[in-house]
Amino acid sequence: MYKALVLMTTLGLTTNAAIANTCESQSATLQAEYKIHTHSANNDKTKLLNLWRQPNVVAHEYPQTRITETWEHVQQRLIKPTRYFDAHNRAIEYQPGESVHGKTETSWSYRNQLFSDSLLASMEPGKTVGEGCERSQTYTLTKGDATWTLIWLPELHIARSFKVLSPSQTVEWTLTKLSFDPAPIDAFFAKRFTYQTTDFADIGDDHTDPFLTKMVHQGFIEKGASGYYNTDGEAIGSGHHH
Amino acid sequence: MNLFKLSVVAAAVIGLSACSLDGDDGQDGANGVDGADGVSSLVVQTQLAVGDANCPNSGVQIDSGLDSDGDGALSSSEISSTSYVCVPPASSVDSSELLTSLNNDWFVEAAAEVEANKTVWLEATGALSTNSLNSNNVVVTSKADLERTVTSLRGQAKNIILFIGDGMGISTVTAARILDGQMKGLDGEENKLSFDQFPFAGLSKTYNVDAQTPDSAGTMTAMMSGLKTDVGVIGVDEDIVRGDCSTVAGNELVTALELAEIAGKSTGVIATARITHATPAATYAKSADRNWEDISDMPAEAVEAGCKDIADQLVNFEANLEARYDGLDVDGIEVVMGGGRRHFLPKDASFNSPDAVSAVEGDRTDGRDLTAEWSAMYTSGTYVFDQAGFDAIDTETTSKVFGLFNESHMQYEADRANDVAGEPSLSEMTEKAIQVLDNNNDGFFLVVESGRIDHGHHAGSAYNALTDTIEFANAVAAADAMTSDDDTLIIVTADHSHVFTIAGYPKRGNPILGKVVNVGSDEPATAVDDLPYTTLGYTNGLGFRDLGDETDADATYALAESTGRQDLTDVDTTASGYHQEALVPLGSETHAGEDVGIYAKGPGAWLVNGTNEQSVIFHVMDYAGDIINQAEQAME
Repeated sequence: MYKALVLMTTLGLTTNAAIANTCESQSATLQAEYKIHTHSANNDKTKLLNLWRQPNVVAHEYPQTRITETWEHVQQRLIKPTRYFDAHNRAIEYQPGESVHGKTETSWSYRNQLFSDSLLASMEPGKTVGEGCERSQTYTLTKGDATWTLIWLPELHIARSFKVLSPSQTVEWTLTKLSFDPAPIDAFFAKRFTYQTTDFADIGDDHTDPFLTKMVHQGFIEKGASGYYNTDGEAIGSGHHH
Repeated sequence: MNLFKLSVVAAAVIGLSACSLDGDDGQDGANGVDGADGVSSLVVQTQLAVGDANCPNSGVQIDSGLDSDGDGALSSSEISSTSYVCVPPASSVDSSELLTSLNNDWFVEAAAEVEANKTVWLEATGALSTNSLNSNNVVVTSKADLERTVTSLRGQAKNIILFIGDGMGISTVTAARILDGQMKGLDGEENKLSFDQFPFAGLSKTYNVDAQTPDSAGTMTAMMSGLKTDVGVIGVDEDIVRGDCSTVAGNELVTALELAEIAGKSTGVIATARITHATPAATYAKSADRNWEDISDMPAEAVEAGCKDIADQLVNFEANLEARYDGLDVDGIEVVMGGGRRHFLPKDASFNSPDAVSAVEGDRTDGRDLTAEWSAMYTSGTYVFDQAGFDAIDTETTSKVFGLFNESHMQYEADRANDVAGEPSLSEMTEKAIQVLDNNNDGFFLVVESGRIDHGHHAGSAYNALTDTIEFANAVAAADAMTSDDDTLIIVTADHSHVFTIAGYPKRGNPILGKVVNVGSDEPATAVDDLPYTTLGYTNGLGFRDLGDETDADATYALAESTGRQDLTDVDTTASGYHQEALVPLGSETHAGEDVGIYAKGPGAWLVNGTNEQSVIFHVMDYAGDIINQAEQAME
């Protein structure tokens, strides 16, 4: 009896560890496609967001604006943003420590997961369903007159769905595709690495470049890149709300 | 007190003998006893300052008397006579008014400064015997004498250092001077940056051949090669067509650094920008476009036509220079330090440096690792990429230093502590460079660029621009301390200005980064719109940002333009992350077209005065170092 228990426990541990390793590997390289629908009394709109992830680099692709933003996790302590203008095959590089929202990037989890660890920690955990990499957990948060509901895949560090319900509007994120195939992910990043890049600091030195002249008035406008902001101008999903 | 012993009168007592009228003369009597020594007569002259009761306009008081107590000094009780020689007053000015001016500290200091300037000029031109500026002693009495004097003064600078504050216009210098002073606890306005104290200064007209408001490529080419050229091109004349490789051949210019190299001097170029950026590139490269920093930046037809990227030209400087002149043998640039590692490495992650901040650090698409090529070429040289490597350089044994401390530009001085592997400051790089370069008895030529003053302004951040300017001034001070005015010409200037203003009527000592507080007030002044406003501002750019303690000015690009008036009532405008308001909305603040300052000391510095075409700076350096003649002699 004793031997049987030990064996079962060991097998159980082994199985859990194996699952964890598999999930960790899958979560490091993936593509997650989201449809984001916003409904209000006067407006209904749907946007797409693709999350592309490789070890220490994550991309947010906005197909409708043809802008991709990437963040590289440098030395596990700095975050280096780059903005790719897919319609022009050009990119603007920011130095580590520079900001996309007017403040220095400090939350890697926010960029890598779309929902930061600090935001998750502030939400009320609910029921868990499923198992293995597909295990999901519900989180809720009441913020003012809005109710936030997040279905989280903790093993993969991504959201399955996210919903904000308030009297004025409803915002709903839905995971429409999840892929772990490394080939298209590699190709996605490789293509953008071929773009001609310009250092942020050099924009002011060259007024003869038509791309720069145009983009400084369009693409650098942060809200034009994603458009996923709440009524306070804060990026939804950021841990900066509290 | 000036004390002059004009004379010492010794009175001797002479013994008198008796005499008889009738009898024979008797025998001479014995000599009398010597009399006691007389006392000294002393005259003392005392300079009287302006405002003296007896000589209101200054003068000399003359006291005389006998030194009764023999102590060698004329005490008040020994004075028997006093007279005055006074400077006559100006008859056309009211005496009380004259007294007020002459007693004023500002007046006195300014007058003294004029006297000092006269001395400096006489010393610099050799008309006054001194060893402080040069060793000549020439009295100029005719035009022929003057020409001989000028000729004799040529070539007295063994070493030449050219400091470029990129975008450091006059208003930037003024604001940085005030900020530096205020950081030292002063009011600020009275403070002087290191180069503010240089004895000679002039103005530089910065326009390019084809541009009213210039860029760094055309302006640095003017300074390095002695002639103006087009905007955006490096080391080539105005016959170039920007971006057209085929127009380069035949239009290449010789630079002062190349002349110094040929003349046998050690040479160096350091920058906080990428070392392939326009300003440093103009010291060594010839390019139809400033953006051709590596081969991936070049159009295919330019590569096929044989044009070389700027990074390639830097690493192969020695071979390229030798190829242009038959029989020439030079040893290459001794010191190269700055940012821009990406342009020297292949676009391959396996070549990443340990402190890379990108997944793939290099940009080169030809597979070449130019840092490895440099190391193979200069086996006794030292390639470094971080603070630790920099600190370990043995300046007395290494033949060459190649330092690339960042993928792109080096950090703003205010951000330097945030660097992954650490970066040296501009001061540290300047000191290290001189320590290596001064091992050559034939002297050296060094160019030092503070490249991020310009970037701070482009981002609309006075804080970053000014703190980098202060560090630039520190680097100048370091170089000045390590060299002698007898043999080293130091020129400090800018390539161009920025649309950066110091406005309002802030009271003395008002924080230069703060809101305007008028004289006699403790509250911020308000404009017609009832809103406070800052002393510093920009005519154009992205405008107002309140990024709190954000020290990286580039963060502002991530936001939309926010030009025009803002309510600054509750904003701390002295915070590092604050960006000044701007009038005209542009994606990036721009250069400005007004003149910039030239500051100089050392041999030949006296040629810097008046208003000059920017290209004159090359000719001042040539006069001081005689580098053209020395180069020609070396090639004979």
